[in-house]
Amino acid sequence: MMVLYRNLNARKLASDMNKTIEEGHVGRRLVVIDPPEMPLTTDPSRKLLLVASFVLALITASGSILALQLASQRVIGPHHLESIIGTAPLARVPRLRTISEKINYRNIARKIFILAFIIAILALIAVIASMPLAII
Amino acid sequence: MQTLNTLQNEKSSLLTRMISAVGLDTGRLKTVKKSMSVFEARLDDHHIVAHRTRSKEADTYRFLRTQILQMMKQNGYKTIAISSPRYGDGKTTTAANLAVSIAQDLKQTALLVDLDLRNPSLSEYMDITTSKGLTDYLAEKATVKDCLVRLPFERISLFPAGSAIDQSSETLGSPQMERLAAELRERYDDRIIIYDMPPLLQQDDPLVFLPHVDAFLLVVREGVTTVDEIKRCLDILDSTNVLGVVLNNN
Repeated sequence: MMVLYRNLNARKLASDMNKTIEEGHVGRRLVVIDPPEMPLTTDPSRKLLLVASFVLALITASGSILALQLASQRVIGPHHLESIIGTAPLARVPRLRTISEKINYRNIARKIFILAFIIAILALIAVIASMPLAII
Repeated sequence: MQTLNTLQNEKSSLLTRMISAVGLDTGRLKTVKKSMSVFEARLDDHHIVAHRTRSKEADTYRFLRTQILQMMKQNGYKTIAISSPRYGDGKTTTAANLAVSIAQDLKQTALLVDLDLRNPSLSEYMDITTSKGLTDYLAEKATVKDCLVRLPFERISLFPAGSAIDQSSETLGSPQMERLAAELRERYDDRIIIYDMPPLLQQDDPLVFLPHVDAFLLVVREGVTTVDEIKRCLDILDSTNVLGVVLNNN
């Protein structure tokens, strides 16, 4: 009998407590109406962003070169020279290299080419090795 | 083992073919270098390339030669001075290559005169060891005939500067120099005389000698010569017949 009384008393206390909480926080009930979803697209689209960033990079690089050229007092290119002297240069002599200089230049370029080739092969092997076995 | 060797050979030949395809093969250049005579190797060391046949650089100098010869013929000019704002801009290389290119033309002969008396270098460029030169002539120790050197090319001679001297502008302004300029001009009717002058902005030698030349060619170096230097040179050359400017990327 005593046990039944204690149970009923505990339930009444809990019920009173809930009633007090409900009366004090009526507006704070959180109900998720529209659950979040992982975005599948972007606005603007990723392709557009990629193209725009590429174009912007080109414009920035060209602009930087142009700005440096304008700021520099040194003659760069036949058009620049023409704007100074009022007529086109008679000739634009290319960079002259001796046979030994050409051989050295090609040797260095060849080493860079071989190194790039090896890196490309290693990168390809790494990509293939990291792929999952079952690709469907 | 044999299979491995064959595979390695195939790989190397593939790589060799790829290197050759991108223009990085040095075999042909090494063959050219071996086949060069000592004289040709010396010219190559000093970037004298105008005598070559299948060469883009030589074609550039041929193009320059033709324009200059046409302008000189139209105006009846026989002498041309070549200079640049400063040392290292390529005036001597241009003068030597232009002279060699003119001499390649069967109808022309060229005389290259080294007037850079403080830093004479044309003898070295042309791989010539001379005992007599302009300074010896002016000191009356040699005649014009003693000083003229025939180069291994046909139709081209060199008048070397001789020993370097410090009082170069006084020497170039002397009456003997005036007489020499007149003598060189009158001696051969079909000869183009090319004077390699000191830099315009570093010495007053060109100013002193300019009255004795018919035309002037200015050499500027791309990425080095400034706009201000070119303007100053053109101001100096205001009363001279400037045929044009060569943009040197060397």
